[in-house]
Amino acid sequence: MREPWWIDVIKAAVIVNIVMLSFAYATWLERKVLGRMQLRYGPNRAGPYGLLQPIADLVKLIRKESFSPTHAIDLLYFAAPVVAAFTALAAFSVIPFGGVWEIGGYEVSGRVADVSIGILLIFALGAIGIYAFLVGGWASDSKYSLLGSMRTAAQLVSYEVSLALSVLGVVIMAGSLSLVDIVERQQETLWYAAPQIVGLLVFFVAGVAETNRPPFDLPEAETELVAGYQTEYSGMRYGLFAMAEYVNMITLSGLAVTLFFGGWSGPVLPGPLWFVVKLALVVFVFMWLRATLPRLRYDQLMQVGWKVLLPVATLNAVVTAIVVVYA
Amino acid sequence: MLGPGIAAYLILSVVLFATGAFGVLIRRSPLIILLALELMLNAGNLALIAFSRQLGNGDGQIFALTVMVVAAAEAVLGLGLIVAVSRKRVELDVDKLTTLSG
Amino acid sequence: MPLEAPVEVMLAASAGNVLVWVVWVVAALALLSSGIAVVLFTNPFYSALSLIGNLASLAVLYLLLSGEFVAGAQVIVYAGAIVIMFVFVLAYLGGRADAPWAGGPTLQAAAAVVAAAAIALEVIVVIALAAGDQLSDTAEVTGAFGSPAEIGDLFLSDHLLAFEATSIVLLVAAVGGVILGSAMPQRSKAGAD
Repeated sequence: MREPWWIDVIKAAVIVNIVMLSFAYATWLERKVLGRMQLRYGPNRAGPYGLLQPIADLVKLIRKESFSPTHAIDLLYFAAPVVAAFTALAAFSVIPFGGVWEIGGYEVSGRVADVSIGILLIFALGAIGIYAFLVGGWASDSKYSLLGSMRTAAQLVSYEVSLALSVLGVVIMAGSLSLVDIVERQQETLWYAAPQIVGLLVFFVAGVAETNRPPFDLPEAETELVAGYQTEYSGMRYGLFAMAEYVNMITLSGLAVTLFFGGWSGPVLPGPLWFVVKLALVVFVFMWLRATLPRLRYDQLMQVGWKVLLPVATLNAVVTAIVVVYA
Repeated sequence: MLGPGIAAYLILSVVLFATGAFGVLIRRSPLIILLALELMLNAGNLALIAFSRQLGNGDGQIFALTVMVVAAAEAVLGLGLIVAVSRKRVELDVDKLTTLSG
Repeated sequence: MPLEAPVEVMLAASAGNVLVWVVWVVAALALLSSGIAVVLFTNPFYSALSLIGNLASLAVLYLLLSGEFVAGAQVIVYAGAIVIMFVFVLAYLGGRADAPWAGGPTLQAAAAVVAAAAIALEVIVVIALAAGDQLSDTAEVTGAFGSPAEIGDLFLSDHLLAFEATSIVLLVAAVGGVILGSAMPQRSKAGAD
């Protein structure tokens, strides 16, 4: 029987909760990984191996006083972190994590929604997410916030172009913008990480910049701009911005797994388990980059985005198109 | 087709166009005039897509995408002009920006 | 609707129809109210933010009209690039408020209202006279209508010239934007006009 609408609602609720839980434990993982790479223990006081540390952080953030600057524009100031978190979570609705199963007479598919413009939807949500940073910084009525949000928005807009072009090679090879179709084509032929290695590298570098992760995290660097657009945010509002950043990282890793590493396909284990394993590996690479590389200066950052990544991504798309048409 | 017919979409498009035209006629800041101009272009796009759906012909959507591209190009140049004008410390008021020299 | 249609089909069709009507009404109200907000706000920053709401409700309307690719392109290009440019320039220039009705209703304001209403009325009357009877029958479309595959096919076959011409237009606009934006020292010494 076809999938009724309430199964989609249940799936959406389950996925949102799992993503938020993985955000909490991604913070724990990051601190542990960074600690070990820096030859020290990470947090190990709150619970065994520090596993209760995210809960301690959550309680601290909720209990903190949420002040706001006197002349901040209230509606925009409060709405900005909400929009950031919303767009980050909503992008997960089109990422497939499994095939189609039959549960209790209903046909349950391994994704919340299958739209023919899946990749466009993720980029559209990313574009809306930029407004959260821009408006949040402007509405804080502070010079550091405004400068930080301008730099953030410029960086995000620049790298979004290279991100979209790097995906173009995969789209040409798969012949569809729908993420489900791309995973199915990879199951038939070959994981696209092999023929699209250049696209994967550009996607990864642009993805690190899109999510404001080190080494591209100048907009949030405390030594440069106090804290950029987050300067005047405290308590759970800051928590929402941090959640948006980590969930963006998880979503981008999910997208990388879907586009380049075959999504949920794998030999023996069930689909969702393979998806989680590959996702965890990509997230680990994000954290590894943070522990290893120094931060880029703003002009270096913009130069890499426009003068290096954009031509490489364009060339990759052109070569892929030629090979696909004539071979 | 589910929902209201094409006539409803066309009336929406016309009202949006009239709102944009009103904005262009009455505001003095060139930035807001550009925003109202975007409203008019979008109203045209809505009419194009509505007709494309009604006739089952994809050409209307192609035209709408082209209009989007041209609107982007025009916004770039309009904003560039505004920034260049404001660099010379001239007040941004279309009633006062009446000469081309200087 | 034929009287012998089964009841379940009628109920199912009307349930889907109700949902579409509700979404349409909400999107239409958001469209018109954000359009009026763009024109009437004194702070240009709020006008730009209202334009984002306008573009989002337009994207919803395009989805109702089976234009999926155009809806996605609308959000990415318009809301995700053009309005960001506007917001950049507005944050750079500072939101100088201008109130066009500060000095009471002027002749220009009254004339603008009359002109806008005249445009609206004229277009509605002309379309109703010329194509009023053809507007009621909508063509049946397949699932491929409005999909990226069909748009790409049309762009590369029937409308190839438009495709290439718009790419040249974009290149010219980008070059022009860079030239306008770069500081020209010899001109700024000429003094304000």
